[in-house]
Amino acid sequence: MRLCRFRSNSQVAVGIAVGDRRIVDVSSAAALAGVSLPTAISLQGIVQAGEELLDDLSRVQQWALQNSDASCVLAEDAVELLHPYRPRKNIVKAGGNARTINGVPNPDAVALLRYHTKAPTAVADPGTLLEWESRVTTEVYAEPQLVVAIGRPLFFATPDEAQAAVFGYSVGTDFRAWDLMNKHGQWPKAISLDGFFPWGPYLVTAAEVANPNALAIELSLNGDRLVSGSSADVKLSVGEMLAEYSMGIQIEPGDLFMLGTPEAVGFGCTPYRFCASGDVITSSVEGIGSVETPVRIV
Amino acid sequence: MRICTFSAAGVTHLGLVIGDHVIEVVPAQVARGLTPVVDDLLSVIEMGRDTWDELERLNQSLADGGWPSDASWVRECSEVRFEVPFLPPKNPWTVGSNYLRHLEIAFARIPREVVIPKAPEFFTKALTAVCGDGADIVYDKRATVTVDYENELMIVIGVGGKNIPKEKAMEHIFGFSVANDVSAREIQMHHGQFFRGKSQTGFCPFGPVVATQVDVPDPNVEQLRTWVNGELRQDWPVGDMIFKVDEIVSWLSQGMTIEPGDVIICGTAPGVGFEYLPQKWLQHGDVVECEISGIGRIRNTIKMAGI
Repeated sequence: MRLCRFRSNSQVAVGIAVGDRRIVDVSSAAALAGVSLPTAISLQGIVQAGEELLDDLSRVQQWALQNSDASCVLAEDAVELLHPYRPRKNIVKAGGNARTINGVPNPDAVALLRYHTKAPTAVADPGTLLEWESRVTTEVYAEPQLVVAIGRPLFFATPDEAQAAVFGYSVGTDFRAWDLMNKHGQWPKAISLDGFFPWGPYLVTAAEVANPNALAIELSLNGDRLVSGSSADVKLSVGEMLAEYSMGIQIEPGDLFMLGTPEAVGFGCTPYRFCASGDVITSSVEGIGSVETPVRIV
Repeated sequence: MRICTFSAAGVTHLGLVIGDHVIEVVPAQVARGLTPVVDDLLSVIEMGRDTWDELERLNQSLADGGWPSDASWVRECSEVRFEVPFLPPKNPWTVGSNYLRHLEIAFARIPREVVIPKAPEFFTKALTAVCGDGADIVYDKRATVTVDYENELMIVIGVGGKNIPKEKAMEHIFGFSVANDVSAREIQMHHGQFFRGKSQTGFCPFGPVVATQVDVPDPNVEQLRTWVNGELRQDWPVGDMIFKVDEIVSWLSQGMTIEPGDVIICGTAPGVGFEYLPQKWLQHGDVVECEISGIGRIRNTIKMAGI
């Protein structure tokens, strides 16, 4: 199931994306289909409920497919797709997870992953103009990310348990300020500027992703492909990364992780270049979707 | 005021600490003919200055005029349990390397040349690490055996903002608390980024109260003291920071919106276990007490999982 959050006639609602670029308004469709869902349903609430609501949502989707002329089935172009949700906690990035960079082994001397976090205030909608002041940073670059949303709690988990606890997957762009990474030494401030985490629009349930560890991940700058890798090209797979992280740290439903950047460090490839005003950055993950962000330096 | 969250007989309340007593805010307001608005500290912070001022007035009048001897809403501090004051709306922010003498000693142990940061070394701790005064800090030897304490001043943001100038920074602060930035040193070193080693469950106790600026107008004049099993380990002026409170708030807000309830832990002073030769790691049963004058003292017991 491809879940999303959208705005239509200034109302924000939870949706299910179905074929031929249509969005089912979940609450309206449930009422018509006679499926009982929690009132004030949110995408974050659906994720936090783990698998509990998936059967009901699936019935709503089935009904909508059979009643595609119903008023609760909207054309995707007629709605504004938003980011799925702002998580309760910072988003965790599995830094240093690339196995190779530009075809050569990752030179990072640290054997373990460099986990660091992005503030939830950085969350932004797909397509939104991202602006920052040149006074704050002049060296912004971007990394395409497979985003992993958690549906069940984990603590000292095995990779298999961790994999089974994944609710679904999405795509995000990890905007980062290279000068701030160097200035502050530690990285979270440099990746937490306002708007530095556009993600979505689709949150694809785990059942629909046959193998999350073999998905093409790409980043393009103004239509030119800058990064082309695969979620297979990482030191730790999705399940291994979550299991390793859970050694002493609780993972909770609704938590978001970024798997890390395979193959190339965003704009670290040659020729070296930081974002400039007017650039459009697009991250894509095979089978999940893509998120596009125009940028402007003010 | 020194505001807190406490529990008595299993029920949690918003409280004001006055001397050795803790006042249950809601019935105290009712007794004064006031209309209680909220009963949790994060909501108080989010509601803004009018709500803070109302509670300051209540606090002042109780401190000046006392209370009826039979008031059921007043208890001795020793009778109650101080809970975590509130859960912040995101991961706690932390500043590393903010006391020069701590840096000099710690870097000599690595060993590495001292590098004085040009900007605050911001990192975060997991929200699941947050706990309160009296909570056990449980480490698991499958994850770490080098557990260390770091007594630190905590800033509690009251008014959100972005690009806040240093001169305006204090206006954005609700108050101050005491935090122990508990650290798993081998994880901290092996991962490069500090987050993982600082985020084990229970590794961020703070409390027992949040002291507002009426009580602590200038945290720089306060003294930070830490004891392990009664042995004094840290004893240092809070104000000896490389980046002071106003600078930290200003730096953090550049290009990034900070929100009411956000917390920033300001870095530790000399005297942590890592600095000793041989290094002194915390062990099962150790009791760590972190105190900052004017705010209070938190006391936590170290436990090893499985014992």
